[in-house]
Parts: sequence; structure tokens; C-alpha cells
Amino acid sequence: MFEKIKGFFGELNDIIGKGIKGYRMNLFTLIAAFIVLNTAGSVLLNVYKNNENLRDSYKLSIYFKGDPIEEQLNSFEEKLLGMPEVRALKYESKEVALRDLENQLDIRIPRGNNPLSSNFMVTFDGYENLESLQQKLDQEDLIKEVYVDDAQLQRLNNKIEKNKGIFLTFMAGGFLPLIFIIFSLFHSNILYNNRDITSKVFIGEKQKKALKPYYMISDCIFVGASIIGTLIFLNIYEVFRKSFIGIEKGAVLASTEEVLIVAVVVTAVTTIIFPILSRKLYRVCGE
Amino acid sequence: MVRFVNVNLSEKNNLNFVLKEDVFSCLPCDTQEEKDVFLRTLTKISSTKGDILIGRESILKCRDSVYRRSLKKLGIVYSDYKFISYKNVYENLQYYMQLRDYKEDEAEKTIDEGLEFFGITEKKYSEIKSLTHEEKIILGLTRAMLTEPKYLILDEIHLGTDKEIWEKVFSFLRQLSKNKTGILYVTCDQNFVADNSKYMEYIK
Repeated sequence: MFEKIKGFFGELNDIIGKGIKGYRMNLFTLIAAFIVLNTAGSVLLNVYKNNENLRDSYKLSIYFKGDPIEEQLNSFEEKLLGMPEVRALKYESKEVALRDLENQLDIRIPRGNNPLSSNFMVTFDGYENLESLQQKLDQEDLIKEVYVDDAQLQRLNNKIEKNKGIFLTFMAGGFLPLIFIIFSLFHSNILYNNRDITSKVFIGEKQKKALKPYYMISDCIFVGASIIGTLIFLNIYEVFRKSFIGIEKGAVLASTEEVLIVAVVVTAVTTIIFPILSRKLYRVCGE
Repeated sequence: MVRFVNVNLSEKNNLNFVLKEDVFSCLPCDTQEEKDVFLRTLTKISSTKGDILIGRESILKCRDSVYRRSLKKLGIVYSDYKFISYKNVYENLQYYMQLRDYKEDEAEKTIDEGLEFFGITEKKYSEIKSLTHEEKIILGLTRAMLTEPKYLILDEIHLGTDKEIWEKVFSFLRQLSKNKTGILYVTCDQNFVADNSKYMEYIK
């Protein structure tokens, strides 16, 4: 067992003649592996997108004293946008705020009795920045009240942390092992031919030349399987996405184009890096 | 002659000897590892301390073209044959000749002669896996003899070989050594060493 693992990362010189056997790379196994890899990639992308979406929900409301004039609002807006904690903000006049309240409560309030004031809806960068943002806002004379729904923000924070956990678990437990499995399928395919490579080298062939045909065949199978696997996955994802969005109307799901970009990047990186890495690991030296 | 100068086989074993053209020598190795080091050094797969010279040329330090020329003078028969599994008998021999810079027609003629000499012409297009152990040993010997080498290195080919066949092979090898081919038999089998001591010169 350990001899096999050791051989897997050893120099070809060490592997030659030891009779270490690899496993034959099967096109269908590899296609399946690429489908699963892309699925893992798309899950990661969707979790990440969901988290980014949730991060846009860290909000607080700033209510002004009286009716500030436009110049005051503009300079305050600039000041707010200059704060590192602030991601975005939206101005809401007291008329719009009243209309929203009417819609929420489903009642009509006479226009002359508007008790609300104009406000800024501030989207800030993470729960951990709330305190420092509040301290800065407390120093502003223009502000009557800063409203923070702490319970809702806590829930949001917990959800984001949970998503981060899911992302890391999936990355470490799903995506990276899959990458390793696909690499081992490729690398081991060369070892599968160890006996013939050994024979060639012992009767006088150069090591690099002896390896060449096996790598060429492996490269072709590998690239072919990665393309087929990715195309199959994209079709499955498109069907899944349509039916999922049909059931969950408000669902945030990455578009097929976004998933395509991730799949192309993952596939391109693996098909370029793995063959190079495999050749480096055998460290065919002296030629 | 082939000179082995301080070839380091193991911590306690440095090989120093001269393989002459008309002598049947035997190199008894203490361990399988020593034998592997010897064969790997000889085929330039890995390096160790010391040097191996064919004539005046050091095969461990020479250029690739010189090594290829030296290879023609050296025939090696391995205990596990070292055949390429997906090539048939003829293709295996052709590949061997190609590595020694033989032209195609010249190689074909030599292969036919070799197969005929060793009586395995009917196996010319046979798959390697269909051959028996004895046939593989004879084919290994055929391959090694194709370039008419001055020196023949044998890696304990007696193991697992039928006694009758082995005696034929052994008498052929003795004849060969009398006809100015230096033979070096490398083995870890102490019983073989004891049984054949009268026919070989032992390297200590």
C-alpha cells in the first residue's frame, strides 16, 4: 500500500523495475468524475453567490432632524460613501416612506399628517463593522435617529456564517478530494504502463521518449473526457435550474453562463496543469 | 574488454573486474538490490560511484551517440525478459534494432536470421503473452545476439527454466564464450553458483 503511494510520487528511476502498478484510466470514469467536479464547482459558486446576496442585506436606517436641504444631503451622502464600512446607500424622502408604510399597513394616512422624516437606507459591510459605523454616525448633527434591527442582523450574520461553513466544508470535503481523484486517475494511468516503459528504458530507449506515447494517449483521453463531462454537466444544470426556479420563485441560483465560466476555468486549469504536474512528479532527469 | 572500476553496488561491495572476450564469468550478488544496482548502472538508468569502460570509452560518462554505439557491443538478457507487451515478437526485435540505429531492411534480414538460428521462426508474428517461459528466454537470447555483441550479460535466466532447455542454453553459452564472446552471468542464487563452479570464473 505505502509502497504504491510512495511510487506514485517517486522519480521514474525509482519506479522502474519495482513493478508498481497503476490503474487504467477509463474514459467513462473520467467523464463521470468531471460531471461530479463541475457539480461541486457549481454548488460552491451558488453558495458564494448566496452569501454575497446576503451581505447586501446588512442595512440600517438613518432618520434626519427636520427637512435637510439638498446641499446638506449631498455632502452627507459623499461623507457616508467615503466611510470604509459603507457599501451602498439609498435616499428615501418622507413622502416615499409614508407611501411604503401605507402599503405595509394597508391603510391611508392624510398627507398633511406625515409624522415620518426623510432617511438614508445604508448597506454596510458586515456585522463586525456595525459598531464602528454607529460610533461615526453618532457624531453627526444632522441625524435624529439611527435605526438598527439587531435581531434581524444577528439572524443574517448567523446565516452568512453557516453558509461560509458549508462553503469550506464542500471545498475541503468535496471539491479538493475530487481534484485529487481526477489527478490520480491521470497520473496512475502512466504507472499502469510501468512494465512497458521499464522494458523500453532497459533496452536502451531514453526515458522521456519512452514516456511520450503514453502521455499523448493519456492527454487525449483526459482532454476529451473533460470536454464531454463539462458539456453533459451544463445540460443537466440548465434543466435543473429551470425546474428549480419553477418551484422556488425567489431562489437565487447562478445562471448557466456563470456556471459555464466556472466550469471552463476549472476544466482548463486541470487539463493544463495536471499533465505538466504529472510529468514533473516523475522527474525524468539527466536528459 | 569491459572494465568495471570501483562500481559501488552496496555499502560494503565495490565491483572491480575485467570482463574478457573469451571468458564465462559469474558475478554472485549478495542481495537482489546489488544485482539491480549493477543492471541499472550498466543501462544508465541510475548512477552510482565508479565507472564502466568498454575498450577505452566510459559508457557512464560518454555522449549519447557513443553510448548507442557501445550498446551494440553489449547484449543483455533479463530474467523478466523486458519485452513490450503490445508488440509481437517481430516488432519487439525490430524496436530493439531501431534503438541501435539499424536500417529497416538490414534489421529485418538480421531478425530473420536470428529467429532461424534459434529455431523460433514460426513464432515471428506471435504475441508475447502467448509464449512459454522457455520461448521467452530463447527470444531474449535471440534479441541480445542480434547485434552480434562482444559481451553478453545474463540476469539469472536459469530461474524457472526447464532443466533440459537450460542445459541446451548453457552449453550454447559455453560454446559462445569459447568463440570470443565474453559472458557475465549475474545471480543471487547461491545454489546455482555452487552447481556450476567448474564452468565459470567467479568474481569475488
